[in-house]
Amino acid sequence: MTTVTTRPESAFAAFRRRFVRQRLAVVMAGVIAVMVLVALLAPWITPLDPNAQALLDRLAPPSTKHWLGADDLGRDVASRLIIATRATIWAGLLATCVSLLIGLPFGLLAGYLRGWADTVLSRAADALMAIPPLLFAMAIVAVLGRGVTNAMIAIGVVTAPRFFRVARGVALVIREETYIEAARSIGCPTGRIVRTHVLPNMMSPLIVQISVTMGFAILFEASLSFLGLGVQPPDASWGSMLQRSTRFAGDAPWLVLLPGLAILLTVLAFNTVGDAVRDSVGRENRRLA
Amino acid sequence: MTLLDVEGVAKSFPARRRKAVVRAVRDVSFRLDRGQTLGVVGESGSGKSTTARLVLGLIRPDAGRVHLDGMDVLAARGDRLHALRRRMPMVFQDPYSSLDPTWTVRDIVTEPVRLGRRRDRAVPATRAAELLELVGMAPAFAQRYPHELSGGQRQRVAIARALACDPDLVALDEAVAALDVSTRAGIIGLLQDLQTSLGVAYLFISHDLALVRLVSHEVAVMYLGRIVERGPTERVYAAPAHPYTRALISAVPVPDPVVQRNRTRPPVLGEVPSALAVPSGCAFHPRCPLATDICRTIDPPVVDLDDGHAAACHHVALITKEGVS
Repeated sequence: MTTVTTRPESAFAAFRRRFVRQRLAVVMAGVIAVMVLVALLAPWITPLDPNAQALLDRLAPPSTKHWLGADDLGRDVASRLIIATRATIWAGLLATCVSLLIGLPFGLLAGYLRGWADTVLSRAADALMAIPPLLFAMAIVAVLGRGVTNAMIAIGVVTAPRFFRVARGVALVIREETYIEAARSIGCPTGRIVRTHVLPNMMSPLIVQISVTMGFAILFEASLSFLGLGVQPPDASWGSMLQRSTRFAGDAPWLVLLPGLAILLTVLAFNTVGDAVRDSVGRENRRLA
Repeated sequence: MTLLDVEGVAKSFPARRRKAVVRAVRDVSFRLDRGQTLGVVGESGSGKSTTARLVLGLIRPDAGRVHLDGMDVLAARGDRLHALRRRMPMVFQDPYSSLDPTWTVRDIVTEPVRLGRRRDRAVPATRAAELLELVGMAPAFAQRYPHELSGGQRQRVAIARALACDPDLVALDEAVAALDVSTRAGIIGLLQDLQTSLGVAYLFISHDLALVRLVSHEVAVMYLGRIVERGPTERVYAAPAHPYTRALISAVPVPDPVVQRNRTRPPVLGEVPSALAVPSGCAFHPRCPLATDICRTIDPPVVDLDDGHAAACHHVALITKEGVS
């Protein structure tokens, strides 16, 4: 009888060890964690009412009352940044979920089944890729009405080919693995093979893509709000704050700087973490990521 | 009692070049009884693995019939096909890629049990331990992942998983070829013990002639997609009736250096032709020392010699009369 010897490092422990070595990524993961926490707790942690106007405080510089100053209507910038985090994270999640839910199943189907299904779906994905996301979102908003939800569903649809390509590419590799044939040889039905063998083996590239798409979607939310097609006034969004403050950039530079930095930091954080996850995946899975 | 009945199975694959066709398996027939081992030998590319996959219903043949225990494997579809496949699972050559790296050993060995049920009811926790015990592994391995195991341990897990199917037949496709010699001996011993206790039949595919002789009740020798000779192991090894079999067996080294040095060995000319361009007539004729005109034009049928020993050669009579050279 073979004896159980000391246990080697688990795949997850190895992943963690490699990830932690990348200092910037760890910091950025912290940034994302704080962002999510702020988004969840936003209504309870704003120092002042984010939509309350105090005309006496118009363009007030940072002070004990307004930590990060006030905008041209005397609204507290700190509170507005905090409440806008919620809209931002929600928008990113919504677009990424839509993108994932469309791209992943079709990608799995195309990559695993190949043949005509692959040909048709790949052409459709290429066609979708050709649409400029921002213009498409603007068109959808024009038809269905202004609002983050419509805009982000549109962004999710246009970015679906990203997940499609990842899922298809990885499924093409996995379907040739012996453990897939092994599953077939014990009478595992195709749908079950895809669900229980193919899908779990593509988690790492999917996580990378989710992270990168989050950053991408947040940038688009900011762009659309900047153009006045996303979050609608009086609600706050980093994009709309940026747009409104450009007129006062000379008198109150913090009004431009702060939302701009928030957008930059968030997008950077998601991209950095995505890259770090890809680099930390074990050698055996890296070719997939 | 016949468990597996294969008749006239053939399969061609389209080659990368258009129009060209790889004739992987041509007119393969054999029978396998319950609890017996059929060794399939041949060079790489001779169609051994493809034959196994055709028999197990993993690839659909172009022609032929396959019956397991009287049931038509090729007519089965959907759930019936899946249930049939579960009666003849396969163990693969490379234990490093045949186990899903994201699954624990417990989930891997009990997958067939879960598949066999109407609903995914929890498999009793003891089932994994029982299966591991059957292949000589401690129950504690159940929580491990494949990458934490050695090659031999992984192959034991693969065998445990095959046994979880409660199989009539297990196809072993070069199942010990990737293991080192000492591990290989352990696995072979395990397979023989399991055959004795469970009465399972094996389709043992290997290019290792000595190993096949050791484990098989019957052998089938394949050359370029055809079975050129089959029969009871000892008879085939003692009195090979096909020139190709004679060449193969004479290529196995003999332990005694004096005997080895003084052996005369029938020459085999050149390399194996490509399955893209199978020679006319008998596929072996370009390399055969006995080839005559008839060999170049007519593919010899499989001729019964005696007691299940059969060979496909025009000159069988000549060889058997002459005896082993």
